[in-house]
Amino acid sequence: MGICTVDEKAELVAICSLPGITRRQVKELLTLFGSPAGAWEAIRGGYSRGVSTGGRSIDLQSPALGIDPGKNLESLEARGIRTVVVCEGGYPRLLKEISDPPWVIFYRGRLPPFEAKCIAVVGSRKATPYGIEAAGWIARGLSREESYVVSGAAYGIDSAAHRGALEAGGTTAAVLGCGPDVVYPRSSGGLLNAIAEKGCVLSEYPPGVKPLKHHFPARNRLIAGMSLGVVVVEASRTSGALLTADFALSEGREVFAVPGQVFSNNSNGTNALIKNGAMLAASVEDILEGLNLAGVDAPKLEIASEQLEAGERKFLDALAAGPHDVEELAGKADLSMGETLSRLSRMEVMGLVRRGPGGRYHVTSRSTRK
Amino acid sequence: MLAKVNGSALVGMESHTVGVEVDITKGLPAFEIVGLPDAGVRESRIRVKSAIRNSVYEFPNRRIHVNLAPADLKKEGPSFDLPLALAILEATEQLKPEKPPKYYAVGELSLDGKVRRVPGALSIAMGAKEHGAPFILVPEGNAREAALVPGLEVYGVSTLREAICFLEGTTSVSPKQVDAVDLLCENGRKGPCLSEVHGQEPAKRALEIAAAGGHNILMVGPPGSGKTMLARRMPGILPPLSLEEALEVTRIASIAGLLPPGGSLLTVRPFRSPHSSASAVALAGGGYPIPRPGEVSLAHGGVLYMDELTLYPRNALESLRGPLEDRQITIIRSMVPVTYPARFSLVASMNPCPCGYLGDPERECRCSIGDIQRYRSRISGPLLDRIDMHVEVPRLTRVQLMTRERGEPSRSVRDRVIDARRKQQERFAGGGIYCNAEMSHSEIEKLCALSPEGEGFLGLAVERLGLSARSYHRALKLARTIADLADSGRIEVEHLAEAVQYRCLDRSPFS
Repeated sequence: MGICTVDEKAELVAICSLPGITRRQVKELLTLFGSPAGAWEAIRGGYSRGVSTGGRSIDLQSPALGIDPGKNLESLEARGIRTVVVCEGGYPRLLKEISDPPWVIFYRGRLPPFEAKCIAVVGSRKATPYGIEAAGWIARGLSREESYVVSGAAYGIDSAAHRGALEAGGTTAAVLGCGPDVVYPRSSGGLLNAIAEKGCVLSEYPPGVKPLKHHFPARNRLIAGMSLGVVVVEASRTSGALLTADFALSEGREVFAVPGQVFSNNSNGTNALIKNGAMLAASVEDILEGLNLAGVDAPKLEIASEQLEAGERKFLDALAAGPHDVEELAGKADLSMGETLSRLSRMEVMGLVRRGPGGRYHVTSRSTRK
Repeated sequence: MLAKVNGSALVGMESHTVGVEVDITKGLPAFEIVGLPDAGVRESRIRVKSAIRNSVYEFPNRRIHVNLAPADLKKEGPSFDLPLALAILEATEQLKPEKPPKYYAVGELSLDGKVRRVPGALSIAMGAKEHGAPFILVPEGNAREAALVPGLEVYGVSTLREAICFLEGTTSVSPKQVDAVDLLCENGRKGPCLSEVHGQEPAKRALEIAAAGGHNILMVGPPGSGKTMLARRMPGILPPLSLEEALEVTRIASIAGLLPPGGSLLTVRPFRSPHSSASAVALAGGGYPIPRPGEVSLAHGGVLYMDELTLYPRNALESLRGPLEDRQITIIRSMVPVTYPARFSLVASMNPCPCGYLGDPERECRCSIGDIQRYRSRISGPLLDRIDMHVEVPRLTRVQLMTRERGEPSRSVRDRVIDARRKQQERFAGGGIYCNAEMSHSEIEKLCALSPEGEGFLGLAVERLGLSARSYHRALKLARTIADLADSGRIEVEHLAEAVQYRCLDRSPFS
């Protein structure tokens, strides 16, 4: 990127902060005017009108007149939002290699270090308890192996992946389809803050930009671009996670898919990926081996079964065969409703089982015995 | 000539004495009623005139002035027909009563002189007793109801002529006798039995806890999982009505005109299930000029069942918040504020999502996350806050449906509920509350002390299970009830652990 220099970072950030400007326009401006500083002066002078606008006519001049590049950078810093431009050293290594990397990344927290083994864990927003569990489990496992979990902070699989990574004390990056300071989905403010503290919340959009529909495919491009491989945990045939997998393929990254039930719509997409040649991810080792990062021990049973009482062990045995509801479990262990519910609560708090919609209980990865 | 007979006007639950004063003077024939009568009262001129003629008495062809005193109270309904007819006959000296004056009379007349039933006879009789009436004349159809008032002579009459004969002493009638306590013992055990519901043991357990602690409960499950069947059996596992409660329940039903003809004390707890098209006024009560009781009051002492809670209009749902908190409702219209009791158990049901299949093991839910969030957000936080228990009621499997095994009968569940309630009464004696569900925050702090172990568990549960902070106090109240059912003075970890399972809607469905 000869046309981008670190010295003119402030101008480049200012150009990319202009409302509505696209990556292609920035590129054209830089080629036309030779450098960010030149492009900036040209925009302010009103010479940017010749730049193709993709059918839309946007006025770059008048917002540009209100911005002082140096102060803009300072005020971003003051709000806790950092920036990195594509020619800087700190720019994510793998992302730089894709066909159209973002000129500037706006982020909170710390970017993944140069040597980070970034692996994306993505999937549908409306996930099943199985998917949630699998995502959390994989993220925990990856974190323990010192991988860097990248995902999109949406409901369902994405959130579960971030949570899993944080739980295991790992680092994780959330790539957003809106400004790095915008909380979307609205209820995930706490999660985003936790991610920013331990890892990084990043976006190619400047602060304040709303989550528009067309931002999400572009965001998926970043998720795939930052990562060595993409693990699709659960996806229907129409899920955006499949787009992430497509981007990964076109950039030569590995694609993994977690197998699911053949009857479940939520696993149609992942099963189809496997059919088309994606690697099957039934464990963290599968992923690490596929990426040539292996050389790791199998994870151990996280809770010793000696700590459980007879009834609780019976529940686990029953649940190993599939989800059950309270009434079925009470029958298996021959306990009253009250006793059953009370034990299940305790096991839930210990993280051994999880209650899904419809009052059905599932085993978690912590209680699966290897 | 001047004559006066006492009638009665209802304002809410209270009855006010209304003096029906009749003055007959010379002048052009006329029949005027003053004292803020509504259309129903004004029309009584036609009924009274015909009833008197058809009972073979003479209707005076003179100037008749009627005043309903006090003149500033709005009067409604046809219950002044009988006292008005009696006063006219007395003023024309066709009736010379032998009985003591200051008696009360209520009843609607039909044109042939029959006396028809009126609503609210029980409250009217109670008011008459309070004002020291020697006896009260009521329509025969209301007599068994009015006779529930101890220490008041109640005479039922079926025609105007019968009333006159009685007042003149030409026939001897003995006052109506009803033994309320007898009725209560005889009929207190009717209703559908819990053993008729196959399976759904977790939901039955939840209903038992709800009944024991007076908790409101929301059942979440697909259509056809037996939510309505379960709810109908809720009154049967509540403790039997006390005499005081039964009288209150009967009064409200009587005011709303819901007592059957010849009906007396209601001995079974009411079960009301207003349709989801019900308006806020239908639920809370209202009307002009005197507000009538709504569903929340008709369910007083019993169960208000709201099927498909999300389908009710938003403002109707919000109108429940007051009565759920205060256990009564004050309706203010132009005239007077009227207060009706509304101490009911709310049993509600809803689908887990718009299509109904979220969490179903066999069919896949087709709803988007937005659909589900929008669906659930129809129930506001403050309303959900007043519902202590949310339980999932899954679809029954074929095996469960086909089973011949019968569950526990309502009777034995009720015995446990009665025991648990007794413990609560001892705990709250003199505190103005009756069950665990009514505990305020300060009472929870005082009466639901936890061991350090329990504290630790609840803290973990709130953190790990994604329960909201508001769940915390709900879980404590529930744990108190579960401990009462288990006959345990202290709240143990196992009680708490069970309680947190009854908060399923606090958890996010997608994480």
